[in-house]
Amino acid sequence: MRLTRIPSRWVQSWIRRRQGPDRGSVTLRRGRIYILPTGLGCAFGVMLFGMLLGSLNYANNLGLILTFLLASLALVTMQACHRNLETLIASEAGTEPPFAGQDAVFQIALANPGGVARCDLEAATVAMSADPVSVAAGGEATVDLRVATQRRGWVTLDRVEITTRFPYGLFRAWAVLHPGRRCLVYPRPADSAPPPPPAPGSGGAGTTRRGDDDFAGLKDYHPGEPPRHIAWKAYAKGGELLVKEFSGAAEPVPVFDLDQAPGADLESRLSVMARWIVDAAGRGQAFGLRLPGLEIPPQPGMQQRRRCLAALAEYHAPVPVDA
Amino acid sequence: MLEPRESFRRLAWTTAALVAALLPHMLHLRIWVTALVLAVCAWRLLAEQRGWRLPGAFVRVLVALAATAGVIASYTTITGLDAGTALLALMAALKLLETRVPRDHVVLIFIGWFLCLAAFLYAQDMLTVAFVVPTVWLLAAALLRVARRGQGFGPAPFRTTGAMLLKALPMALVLFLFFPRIAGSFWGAPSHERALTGLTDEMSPGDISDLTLDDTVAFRVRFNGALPPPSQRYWRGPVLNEFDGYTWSRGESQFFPMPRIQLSGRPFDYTVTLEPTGQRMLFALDMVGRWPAAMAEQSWDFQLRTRYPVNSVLQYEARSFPGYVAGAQLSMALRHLELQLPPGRNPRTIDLSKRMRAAAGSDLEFARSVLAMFRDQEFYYTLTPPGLARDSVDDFLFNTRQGFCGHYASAFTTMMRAAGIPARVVGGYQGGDWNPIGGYLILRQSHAHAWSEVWLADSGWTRIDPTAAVAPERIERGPEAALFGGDLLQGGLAGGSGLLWQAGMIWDNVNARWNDWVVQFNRLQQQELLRAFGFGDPDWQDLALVLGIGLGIALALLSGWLAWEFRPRRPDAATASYRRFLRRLERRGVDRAPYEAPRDFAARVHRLRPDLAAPATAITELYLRLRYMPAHGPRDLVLLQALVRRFDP
Repeated sequence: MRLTRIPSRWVQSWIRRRQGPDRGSVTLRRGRIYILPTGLGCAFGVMLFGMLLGSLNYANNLGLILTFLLASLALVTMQACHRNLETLIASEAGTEPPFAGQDAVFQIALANPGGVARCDLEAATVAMSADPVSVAAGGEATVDLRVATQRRGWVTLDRVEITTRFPYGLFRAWAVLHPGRRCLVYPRPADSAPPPPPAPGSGGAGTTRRGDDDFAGLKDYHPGEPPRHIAWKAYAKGGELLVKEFSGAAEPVPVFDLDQAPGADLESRLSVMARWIVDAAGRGQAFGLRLPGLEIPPQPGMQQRRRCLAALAEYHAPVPVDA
Repeated sequence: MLEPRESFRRLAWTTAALVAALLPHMLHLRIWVTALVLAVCAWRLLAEQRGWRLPGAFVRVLVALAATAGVIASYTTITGLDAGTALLALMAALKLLETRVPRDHVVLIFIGWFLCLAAFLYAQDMLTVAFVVPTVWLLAAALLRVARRGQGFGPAPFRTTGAMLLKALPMALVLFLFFPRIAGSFWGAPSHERALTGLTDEMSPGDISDLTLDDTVAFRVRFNGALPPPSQRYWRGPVLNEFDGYTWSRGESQFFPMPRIQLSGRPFDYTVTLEPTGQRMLFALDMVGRWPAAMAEQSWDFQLRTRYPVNSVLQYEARSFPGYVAGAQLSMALRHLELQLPPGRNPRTIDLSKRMRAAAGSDLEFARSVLAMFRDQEFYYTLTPPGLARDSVDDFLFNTRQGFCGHYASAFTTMMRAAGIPARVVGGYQGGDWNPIGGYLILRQSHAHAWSEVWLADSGWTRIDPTAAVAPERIERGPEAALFGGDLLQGGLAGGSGLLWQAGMIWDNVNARWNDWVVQFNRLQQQELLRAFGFGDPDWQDLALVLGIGLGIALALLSGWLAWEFRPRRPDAATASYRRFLRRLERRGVDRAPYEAPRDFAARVHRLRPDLAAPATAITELYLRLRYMPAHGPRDLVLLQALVRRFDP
């Protein structure tokens, strides 16, 4: 659903000017919460006006009391709607870098220091909104804001609105955040890629005495190592995740080089590189990366995967895209 | 997309609220309307549960046309309160047939609130309020349920709505007290048919006896000063000039110039609070000298007639004079009307009357002799007289000889007219129960009465109550006394000391106050209220000022109330200790991220500051144990607090 009911650029830039950029955690104070009646609220007002006219015309005091009670109820819900946002603390939680074409997920933590639960809070960007969440009194909830990506590089979360229509949907209160958060988008791994060119002999960037042939011993597990190497029996006994190491024929450790990647243009060559990295990391293999002006020495593991993909994403990165 | 169970629950809430809003109307809605709406409600709920397909647009349009046609057929109109309410109810049923999304629910709930308003247009008594208040509440709770966007946890709709309505109450009260009222109305008064008991512009033998057993309050009177003695408490209502031999009626057709009235004696000032009658008459003591001219005008036969039927509680002040000479001059046309008898009917009565008049010396003497006949011969006062034949007066005078006020008034008036004396029947109320708790007089339907008014050359229209000749107790102490004799009821209902009687009087007093303070609160009372606030001659600007100030105060109160509710709660001791631990680490540059669970954070501390690993882990584990395994509570807490106190990186 489209978030901004008043998409006026002027209003948005006015809000941006008066609030300034937001970094870290932001407490939603009175000054930055806006409130307007919704369409339902306007319809409610029209209904109340009709009831008022009828009651006045017939000098029906109980009708008047009913009308005034409902009008006061609307005022109470306006206050409650405003308070539903007030003093909430919105802060940055994690982001998970996606591959181009997937959604970038910006997490926002909403903490409620007050003594009343806050219900139906919707966080949204210009493009899409997250599912409503409720935050218990004194509790905290995390909202996933998904931002669609098309190409590699940086995505910026420029503007977030936190909206609520609770309790009756008669009013809509919202607060605008300008977190200026960025998330890196990895190049999309090519669907099919030729195998990487063989590593240049055993004297290349280095080899490890590791292979798949003979069991050599146990070592600590690191994320990214293939699950079939995990010593499940040892885990059942000791509760620690260990990985079986095998020794075998020396396997040359590949160093993926952009210059050797096939492809028509830079983007498709980067895609092929991404495919190689993802596959190698999936196998638990060690690998290195060479880009013009950058060399990452070979290593196994998730951290290496992240580092190398980030390098690919940032290599002559396109201009950042605002989310 | 809602899960089906929640969708059903929402529908059930909305439907229940709608049916509740419809309940007060079931008394007056045509039975087919009620039946149709209830059937649609039941069908729609079943359809939701079983996953049946809802009818398409074609069917709905067809049903809408049929419903409108049905309303026109049974109400002959589609405007007015009755037809309007029926249409509203049918519209709700139709809407229910296509209810899927929240917007449809909202329309239903709005219709429900309009039905509540309509219920108040029908009646403003406390019973209606007791019914409508929970309905309004239920409707708002249904709206809360529908307006929820999240699937997550949330407050209980009924309780939350109750709390909000409570918070809305002060503002509503301020608005009610000070919102400017208009004089008159934008458009006409509501018209609706209602089965009200009470006097009408017609009287047939037996009519009033139905009323005599009815304890419903007709009106209440508060006297400003002295009370008239019981024998003078004649509250004039409809004056019946036309007689067809069986039924007396008012006769709308004729207009006569207003006769002169000379008033004398010490006047009585009083305020009448009249319950809805559905009739166009006000009641006043004979002879009324002052009344609100905007409300009613006096007709040539001294009734107070309103422009519209009295369909809601009405309050008016009046002044009456015990002595009067009314209509000393009688026009030929009026004399003709007041002597009119249906030709050929009640021949024996006319014959008797002529004989008695010839024997008497004057009109007055003749009247006395007729009263003496009622008193001395075998006439009985009873509320259960036998039915009368077509010539009702003949049958009464010569056969049954049992009857109550209506019979005697009818017979007496007929005899007067037969003897050439202008006479008419006057309906109204006589007497009244004194409520010592509230200090006012209650006139019940059981006080309904009928008497005669004859025109005498020297005193004009003169009241003669033939019932007084047969049963003088009826006039002094009420119909029960006349029926059962004085002693029987001395300690009973009419006696005035029993517990039940007292409770009844207290309840009636509550009702009277309700009428005075709530139902009848108007511009005048608003001005009184402003005067109490020190405004000399309050105008609308003063009203706006007070309204503004009052609303400001109410809003400030509301704001404070909410702020108190939303205030941050103090964390419990374990959390407070753990937070102190976090603050101390923060000062040393180790910051817990919002998404980091305590154990993850402890692991990070371990990596970043191995020197702090041991106390940090101990504190974290103690904190978690207090959170999730509070069995060892006190000891762990003391330990945790001590560790945090010593933790000073």
